[in-house]
Amino acid sequence: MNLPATRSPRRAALATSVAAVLALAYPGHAGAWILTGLGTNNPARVFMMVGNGAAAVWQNNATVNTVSLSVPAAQLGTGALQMTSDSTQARSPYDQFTVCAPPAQVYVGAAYQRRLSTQAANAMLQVTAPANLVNPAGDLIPISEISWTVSALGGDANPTAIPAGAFLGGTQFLTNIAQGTMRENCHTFRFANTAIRASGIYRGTVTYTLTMP
Amino acid sequence: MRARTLIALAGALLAWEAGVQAATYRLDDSASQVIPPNAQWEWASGSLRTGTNTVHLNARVIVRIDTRQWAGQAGRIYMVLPVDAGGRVTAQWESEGRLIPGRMLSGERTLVFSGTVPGPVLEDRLTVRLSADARTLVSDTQRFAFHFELDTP
Repeated sequence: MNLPATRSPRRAALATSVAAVLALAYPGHAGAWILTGLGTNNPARVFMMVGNGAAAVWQNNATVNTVSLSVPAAQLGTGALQMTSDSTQARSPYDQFTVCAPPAQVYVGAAYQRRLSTQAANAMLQVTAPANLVNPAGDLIPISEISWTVSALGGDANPTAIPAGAFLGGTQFLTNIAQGTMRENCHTFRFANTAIRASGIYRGTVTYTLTMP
Repeated sequence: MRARTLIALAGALLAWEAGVQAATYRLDDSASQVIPPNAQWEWASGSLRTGTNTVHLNARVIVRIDTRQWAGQAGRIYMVLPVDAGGRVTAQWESEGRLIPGRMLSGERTLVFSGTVPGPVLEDRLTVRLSADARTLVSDTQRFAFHFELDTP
């Protein structure tokens, strides 16, 4: 008859000790130091440069370079001639490595970094060109007469990162710039010179764009 | 008489639990300070050439761990960074000597002190750098809550 009375206080004592051990293991004031990482001032970014430009990536520069050619009278319509430029940009704005040999070569570079995994995997490099070059008299040369080859100095592992091509008139796709990468090389322009044209200075402006969708 | 015996038994159980059996205790470091508490992620230089997407942020932490309960006892203290849904980060820190400098990934715990707990408060200043792959970050604001644990022998 005494057993139940004896067991009950033991249970109570055991419960007390367990509660005390738990309280030791999980003190009520355990803290943590908290560091909050902010990316709101460091968003996804794109950078593009054609010809002369910024001293370093991610900086803005409004320079517009000219690629030109004076066709000698004896060579009118006789086949492709290399063009030259007023660009002096030899070094990559990213690391100042010498990439191009101006003025024959025009530097083209594009970079994209995204901040979040939900952002686009690629930015798109495009070029938009008019259908024709035009002289003051209104004579036309199809823009498709202008093409370019690509190269890069210094043992670049991917000298054709931005592909060679010819202007088509309108907007044309050049390449995707994968997030976290920079693509750059040097473009050497050529005039196809397939026909004899009226004299004059023919002009046209092509615009390169890098777009993050 | 019986009550005194039971209290003694409870005391003995406490002593056995707290003093003899190896155990892990979360420590109170609520007096710690993070400077600044909010830090900007910055792109790592050189990442474009390699195609990596590393971002860093730096902060200083004045660590103050309440160790009064274990002062004079042997123990090992670990710093813990729980896994966060927002992406895995690497924490690297230097100290002024009281805590062990080191490096860990989120989800890990790393030894920062081993020996006899010297007093009621274990204090040090850490220079902390967090690194993450930006491709794994899913939000612009992410909290990283570090804490400390003590293992008794």
